Amino acid sequence: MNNLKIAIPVSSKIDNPIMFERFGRANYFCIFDTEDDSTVVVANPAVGARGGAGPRAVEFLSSKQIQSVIVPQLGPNADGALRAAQITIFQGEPIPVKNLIDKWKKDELRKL
Amino acid sequence: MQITIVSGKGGTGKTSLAVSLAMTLENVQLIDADVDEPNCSLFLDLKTKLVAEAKIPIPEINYDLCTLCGKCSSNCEYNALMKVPDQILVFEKMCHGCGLCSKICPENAITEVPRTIGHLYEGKNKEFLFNYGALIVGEELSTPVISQLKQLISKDKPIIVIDSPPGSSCPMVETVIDADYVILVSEPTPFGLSDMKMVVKTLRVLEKKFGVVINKDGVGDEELELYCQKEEIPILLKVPFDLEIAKNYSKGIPFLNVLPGMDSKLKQMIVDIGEALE
Repeated sequence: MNNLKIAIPVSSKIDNPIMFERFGRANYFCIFDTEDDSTVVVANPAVGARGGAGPRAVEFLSSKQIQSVIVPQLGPNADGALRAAQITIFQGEPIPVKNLIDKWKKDELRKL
Repeated sequence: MQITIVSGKGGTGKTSLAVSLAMTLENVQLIDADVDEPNCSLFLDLKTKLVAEAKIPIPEINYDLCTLCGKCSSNCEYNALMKVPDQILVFEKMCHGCGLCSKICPENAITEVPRTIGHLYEGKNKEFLFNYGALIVGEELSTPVISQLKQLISKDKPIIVIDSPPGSSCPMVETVIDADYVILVSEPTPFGLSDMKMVVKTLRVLEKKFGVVINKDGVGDEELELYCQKEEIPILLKVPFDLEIAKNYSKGIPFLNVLPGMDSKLKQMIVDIGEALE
């Protein structure tokens, strides 16, 4: 299997943060790479957008070759953008990202 | 002469004043530019018909030419365009119709196609001309509807009365930008005064001549009048706080037809405004 990159919205750069409850307006994305089981935290360039933060965040994730996201609720624009970008969407919950990734590995997250 | 009626706070009496003022004049055009919620027609006994659609140009991508370079999406101020690996997505409702994308596309792959966001209406009764615009429910951009409504301003009418949207943001600015005189309706409450100050600031930036009509005079406090004195803003008229006005308002009767002597007061106000403009 090829490596996969999964993005989760978070509000801070601390170790193992809790998933943020908004997608496009999250300060950062925590990106998990299955190749080496590593996580990196990157700033979300869309956080300050006047409008259209969701699609702008998707565009950013798409440029980072993200294949899946684990998200809270999504607006219609972000949802449409993720699907158009062929990014798989998993329903997350506000728990630490490591727990979410474990759940994803065990195939316990619902695909949206 | 174009007289535009604004307020800071909503519900201070713009529409009541606009309708009352227009009805005291004989050869006049009344324009309801509060396109998010036009309601002048509730007080007018005339039929209106659709005369035009308000449209904005939105981009259409020609994929025979598009190389997915992403220049359009990365430069879109409103995030209405988004590049994904195999296409450029257009978020129609985010688009302000500025046209930048079609101009900067290196491949000329973007054409602009019109999208209807509102409707423009007209009604007549002898020499009384009435126009209003209505934004389609679910749409967000009032300003282009207002700017297209303003194209219906008559060149034959000596006086145009325009009812503006509340606030002091883009739709209000678009409505007052060509006005010869602006009437600021306010109520004498802390809330009314606070919002009015923002409008005063805006009107001063726009270098507009303006005066204040105090509506619901008698409620609240004296701060509004003291502010007007201090800032040397003329108080054109005071409309009292009166239960009869509210009762008649709910039946679609403007205060012009409720308060004795209002007709001559409004006519005098127009004379005063004319003198202020000389």
